[in-house]
Amino acid sequence: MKKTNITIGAVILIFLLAMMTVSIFYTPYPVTQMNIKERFSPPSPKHFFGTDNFGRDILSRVMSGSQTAFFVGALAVSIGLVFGVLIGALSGYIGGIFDEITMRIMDAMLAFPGILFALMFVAIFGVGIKNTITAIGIMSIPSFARVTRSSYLQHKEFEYVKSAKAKGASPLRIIFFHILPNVTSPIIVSSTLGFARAVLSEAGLSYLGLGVQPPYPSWGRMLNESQVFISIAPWYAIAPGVFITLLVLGFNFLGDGLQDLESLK
Amino acid sequence: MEKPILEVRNLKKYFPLRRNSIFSQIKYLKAVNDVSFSVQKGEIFGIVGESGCGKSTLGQTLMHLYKPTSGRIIFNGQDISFVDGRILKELRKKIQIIFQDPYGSLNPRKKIGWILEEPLIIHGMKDKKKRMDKVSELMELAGFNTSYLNRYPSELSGGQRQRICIISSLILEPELIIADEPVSALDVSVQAQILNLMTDLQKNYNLTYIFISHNLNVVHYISTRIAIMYLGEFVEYGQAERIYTAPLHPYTTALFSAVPTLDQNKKERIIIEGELPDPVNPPVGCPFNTRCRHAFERCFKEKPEFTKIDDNHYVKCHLYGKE
Amino acid sequence: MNEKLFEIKDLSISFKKKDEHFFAVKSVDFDIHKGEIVGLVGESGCGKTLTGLSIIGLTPGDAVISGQINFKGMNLLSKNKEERRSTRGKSISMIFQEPMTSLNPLMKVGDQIRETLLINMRIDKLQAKQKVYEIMKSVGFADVCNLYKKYPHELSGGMRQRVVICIAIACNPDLIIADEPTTALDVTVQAQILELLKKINLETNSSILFISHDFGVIKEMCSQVIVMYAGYIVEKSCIERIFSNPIHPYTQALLKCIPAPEKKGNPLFSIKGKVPSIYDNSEGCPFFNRCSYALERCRKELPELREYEPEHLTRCFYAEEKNGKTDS
Repeated sequence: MKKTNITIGAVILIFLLAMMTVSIFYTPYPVTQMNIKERFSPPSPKHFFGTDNFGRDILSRVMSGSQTAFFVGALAVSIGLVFGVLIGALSGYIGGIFDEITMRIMDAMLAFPGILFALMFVAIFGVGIKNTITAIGIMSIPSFARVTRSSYLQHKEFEYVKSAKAKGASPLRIIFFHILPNVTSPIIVSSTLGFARAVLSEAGLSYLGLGVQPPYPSWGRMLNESQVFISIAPWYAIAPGVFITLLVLGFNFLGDGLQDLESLK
Repeated sequence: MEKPILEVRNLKKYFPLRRNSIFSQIKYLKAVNDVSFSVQKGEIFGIVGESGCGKSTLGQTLMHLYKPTSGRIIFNGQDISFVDGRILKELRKKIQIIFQDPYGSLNPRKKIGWILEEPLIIHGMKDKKKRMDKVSELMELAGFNTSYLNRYPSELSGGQRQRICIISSLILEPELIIADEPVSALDVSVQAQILNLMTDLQKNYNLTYIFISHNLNVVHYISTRIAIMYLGEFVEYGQAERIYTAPLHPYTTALFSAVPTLDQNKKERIIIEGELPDPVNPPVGCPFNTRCRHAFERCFKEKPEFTKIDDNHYVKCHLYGKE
Repeated sequence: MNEKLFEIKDLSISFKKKDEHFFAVKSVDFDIHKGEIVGLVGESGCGKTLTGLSIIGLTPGDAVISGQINFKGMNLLSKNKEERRSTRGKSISMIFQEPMTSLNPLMKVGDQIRETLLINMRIDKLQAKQKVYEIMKSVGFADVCNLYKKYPHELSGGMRQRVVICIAIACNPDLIIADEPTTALDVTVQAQILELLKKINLETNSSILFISHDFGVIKEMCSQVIVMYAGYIVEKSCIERIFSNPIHPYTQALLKCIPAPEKKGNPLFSIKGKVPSIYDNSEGCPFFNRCSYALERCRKELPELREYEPEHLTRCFYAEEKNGKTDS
């Protein structure tokens, strides 16, 4: 009970990370190699997850799809983290009108369905990996901001902060040098859960055809492409679906486990 | 007479409370409600009171951790009531504070060395060697060897942490230190060590202390003069010995009689009934009138002024007031 | 002397960490008589709270307890969980230090007092409510009907502690364990609470085990005092003698540390060094490296508790030598 969540999460993620790393250098078959003779082959020793409608090896495509998932997830979460923490820290520490206004904006962003926002963004700025990352990143800002803000609200009343003020430290100095090192845990937990959300969002967007475009591989797009063929080649849809689920589960387990650890302290 | 190092005149600190609607009046929590006193250089001025009397708020307001609502704070002849920015930063070097909770006042994520160097960095001491010299000097004074610089606060005991807090307040070479319950969270034997350290430092560095506490024995032991605080006001102040042996204000007498002592000659205990009134709505007239067994008509109408008993003793009570 | 209610014999409490046992309480022996107020005094980490918790059976789950706690002839430590639980609230009750955390924030205070009656006595809800009003009046509350309905956060610290006391006395227990009951309270409120406890002791003849670090409070309340250090009892005495003639060097040192009017102007006596940690398994007297009177044998041997005056025992080789009580 104590550490199982973290262990399970870590195991899953390590496995997927390993798969991703390997895929950079090697996949059983070239990702784009077509072989019409072998189209729609079910899973076999030759093609572990079978082939798609162009005879491409699904395992290889799934492996390289993980690169997109991790890459998009990492960058999007980074955007969310950097801006979210900044906004949350300033808001929580400064308080007053600034805090009120900022939080109302964050509330509005949270209330707005994420996928709708991403759709709007992409409709205005166009599809593609860059805009996918930006859209998902912006969507992630409010939750980081909230988490950071509540930590700062708490900590700014602590005596070590009053001590720092009494020594003459400026507010910015206190925010970044004194308080920030103390609030990293909830931010880390948010990051893991945020990563899961980002992966799911990317898959959703790509499924709709509005996210990552060819030639970049994407599990979401594979799901879209496989839909038509679901009755004759279900393995085509199952493979990316399973991996999306695994990755999201992995991060969720890890995040939950870390959260449990935090609450035990 | 020498000019006092600190003069406080009619200091007030009110905290506005959240209103229920835009149309209702703002209510204020009157934490410090018109306090005036002066502190001589080199003395230890004790402020005694129970929880809710406003003594911590007073200490922190003097430090500009809270901005005064009104009144004057004069430090070394200079009016510092509403300073800001650069002047406030300079002031930080001269007035420092020690807090009660040694577990909370040190940043748990930073090493002791960083905590001690930080104030010097903030105030522009760029030479690392000079900073380390200063830090080492103070560590030695407090009885620590330099290996402690690499430790985290969680690795130190309560008494050790409090000693670090004390030397960290000295690192900027202040003239006045406000000690807010510095020994209340410590065991008796550790308390003795800390009190001794504080008196040693006072002699070595010619410091002035404002010593805030609810522990009468400690305050009486260490202070030159004592002020008794109740509901945001001073009700009595004077020489420590005098206040202790001949308290006049009904609250002071009850307070002293309530302390369980090891004294053989136990005075009759006066039990004060009732509770502290709401600081949002202090009583009309004398703040103590809801619980005072000597209260008479005037006490409910008129706020008493300070009566001078002699140079060493002032009391704010109609029993001693002029007609 | 009144009848003996509790007999604690050779009580030891340890915690296991990686196959090793670390002792927080070591070989504690003392008695509590009917109607007596016994003081357990010491600084943080000495084991006094754990000792109190072991009597009521609320030690942490991983605590390993050995010895005997004899109550009315039965050893409580040999009882199972159910049997021990039946003594709680009814025969033995406890008052903790922090009134805010010992009360349920979501329950009316009156209901919390009533709950203990409903659990431990055959009484219906309405009768219990009436009894609660009586109990509240007996501790000095006015307007009990309104107070019953209040929640803990609506009351001051002193009032909350009084509610806790109501819960503790509701079923007329034989023993009330009070663990630092006034430490978190203001001096004037403390005075009220101490008076109340004395009144309860007089009127109901409940015994009280009063745990504190404050000698002044102990002096005011207790007839018997037990001084603990690093898990051991170092001195045990009736109240008068411990102050007129403290024998153990730790007791003497502790009393010397306390600021008092006559010490003004002089440095306070302070004990060098610090309390040994629970992981320190060294032999010999636990106070050895801080004691001004330490002898060589104190390093390796643990002194026994010996009687020096009627009802005055202490555990010290130096005291033995001074009083000619060395082993033959």
